[in-house]
Amino acid sequence: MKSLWKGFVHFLTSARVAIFLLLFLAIACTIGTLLPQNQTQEVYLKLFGKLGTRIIHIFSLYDVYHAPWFQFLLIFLGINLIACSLDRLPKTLRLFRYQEKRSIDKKFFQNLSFSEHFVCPTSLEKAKQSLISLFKKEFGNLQVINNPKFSLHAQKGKISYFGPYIIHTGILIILFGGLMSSLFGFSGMMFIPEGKASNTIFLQGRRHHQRYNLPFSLKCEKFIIEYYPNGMPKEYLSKVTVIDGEKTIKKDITVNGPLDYKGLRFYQATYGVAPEPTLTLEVINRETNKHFLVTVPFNQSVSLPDSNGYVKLVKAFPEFMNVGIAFQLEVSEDGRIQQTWVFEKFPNFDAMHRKGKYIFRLKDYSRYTGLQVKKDLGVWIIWGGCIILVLGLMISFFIIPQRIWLQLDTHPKGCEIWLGGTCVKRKVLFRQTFENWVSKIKEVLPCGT
Amino acid sequence: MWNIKILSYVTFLYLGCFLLYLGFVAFRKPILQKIATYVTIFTLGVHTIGIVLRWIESHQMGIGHAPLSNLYESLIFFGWCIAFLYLVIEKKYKRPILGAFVMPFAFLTMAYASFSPNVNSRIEPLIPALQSNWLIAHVITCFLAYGAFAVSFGFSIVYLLRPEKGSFWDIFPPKLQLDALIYQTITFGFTLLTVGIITGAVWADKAWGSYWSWDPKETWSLITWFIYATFIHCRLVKGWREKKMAVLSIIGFASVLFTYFGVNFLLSGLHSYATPS
Repeated sequence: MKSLWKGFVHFLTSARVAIFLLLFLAIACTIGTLLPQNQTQEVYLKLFGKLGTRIIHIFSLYDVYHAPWFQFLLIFLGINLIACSLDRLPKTLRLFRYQEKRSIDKKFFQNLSFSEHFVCPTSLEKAKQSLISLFKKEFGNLQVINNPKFSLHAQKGKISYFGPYIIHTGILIILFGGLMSSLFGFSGMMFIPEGKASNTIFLQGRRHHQRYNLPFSLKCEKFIIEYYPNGMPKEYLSKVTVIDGEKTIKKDITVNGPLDYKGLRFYQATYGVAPEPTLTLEVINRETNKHFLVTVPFNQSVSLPDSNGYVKLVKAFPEFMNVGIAFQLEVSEDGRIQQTWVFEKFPNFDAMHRKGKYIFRLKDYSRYTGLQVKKDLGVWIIWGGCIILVLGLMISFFIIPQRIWLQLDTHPKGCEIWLGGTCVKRKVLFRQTFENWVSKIKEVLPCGT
Repeated sequence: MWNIKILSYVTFLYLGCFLLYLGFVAFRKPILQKIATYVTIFTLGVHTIGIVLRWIESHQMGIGHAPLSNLYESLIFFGWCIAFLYLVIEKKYKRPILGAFVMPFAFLTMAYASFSPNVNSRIEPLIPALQSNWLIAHVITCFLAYGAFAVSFGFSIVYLLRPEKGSFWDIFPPKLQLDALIYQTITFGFTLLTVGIITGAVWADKAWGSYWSWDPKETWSLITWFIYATFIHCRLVKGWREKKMAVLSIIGFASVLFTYFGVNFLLSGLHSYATPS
């Protein structure tokens, strides 16, 4: 039993498992991007046949990222991160606290991974002064030993040992935040016609087909699309008013500028023809060629300028037989009642297809704005985790833990300098740092070799 | 459209840089190497002017935005990142003579941007979703990361080609140093890729209301992240070195290329504005 437990712990803490998990997650994600996701049974049958479809269903490959085994991999990665970190932490702490106890002599320097030895024609006292001031600049904790010989010992970058732990903590926090998001967050849509207020959210995701009523409501004053001169859309903008009891707050919601209110976030997501729209029509008298604009609310007769007839919006089609937005009108001119249409894409339809006293052209129609609503406190946990993760990466990769020793000895020609250094990671790059130190010393003290 | 003209000349300048570095490898005249370095610095300068000019021209057109918004502009910036990072490494690590294996990538990205009929080089206004300062942070970090991965890919090729001893290869850094350089550039790229993914998530959260939506581009950047994370763990924990690492670095760069091009051409998603039109 005990050995089984030991084996299990060994399994959890092995780096092999971590590497396997990373690769497996990479493969799973690849499948998720290459295999069409969330398609109907028929699509899979067509593409992969009977056997393929069965395999896809057994492993939930139609929705890889939400498959139980994918979630399991992520949780397993989290457990593995914790286990590996706990397993290695004592070793790191020992490395962190480790102090060299050996006496510093020639043999000590020869055993270091980097060492250099040279003679300078400078007096011992003068050399001491300039060396101390040189090293003080780079190392905060410079140790000066005067007995038995003048030596210096300095180190920096020890925090780098903890870099991986900081990174892994960041990743764990991000995973935790993601879990919080999916457990306690919700997102949904609100559809508010211009001039109307609403507090109903249609939920998405796990609580699909449910509604949620906000304790306050949002009124859409106006929905605006701005265009560039070349016709590309420049901005989608909803002018909204938050109505919370007595309080009202005005705010513009744009694509990159959501509204935050009471822990909820409202995003500009979509728009469309309002369910019972109000039209703005351009009416042209065929005889006098006079233009004027009329506003036509839904299903209300609006009299025409010479009051000899009316126009009425009967029906609105957000998508009419693949030709886009269309409105059905009832027109009465001199007692003659006719049906006609106005289309967004064909402004001249009425002019060409109906011979009446007036021509009707669609100028504008009222829209609804579609706002995505989200409540997700997990986001802040995730951003916190991200900051820790990036800090950890910088600490592990760009801080090199290094130690340097220097000893000064008398020499007939001035003084003799021994310089030695060690670093745990990045030995090849440390060589350069070390060589820099040698040349710096030689600069301060004019030396031979 | 001066910027487009200048940037297409820059393409040929990079070809020149490559030939100079190659000339040094062939003729071993130290002066050639010096000239190559200076010409590369000059080219990068002209390249920078081209990008700044494009920025200014977009403002003159009244649709001012940082030139980091479509495939053309991202390719131009990718080329810039490669040349810039290579020069930094050359300066910092005492001239490892690897330009002959890095400059071709700068040249190829610039050539693809300038001469492919599929890449639209006009300055176009930004659609609403792209109007964010996070766009700049996201694109700069991602492409510096891609640039670092491209440089490490070039180094990995030298690593695999170079025998331990061989008079032809003697002018290149020794294998041990190459190995360290590959690792160094990858850690740099990995850190920036992480920042790039995060800034992308922050931006997506603001613009689309979701910090992560398993969009193909997002997912592929995560796959790349997983591959390089594997690389780093193999090295630090399992003590893998040298050849295996160079091979992993090449696999990683293949994944970068797929994230950049493959996703645009083969998979559709939220990043579709980066597709050639």
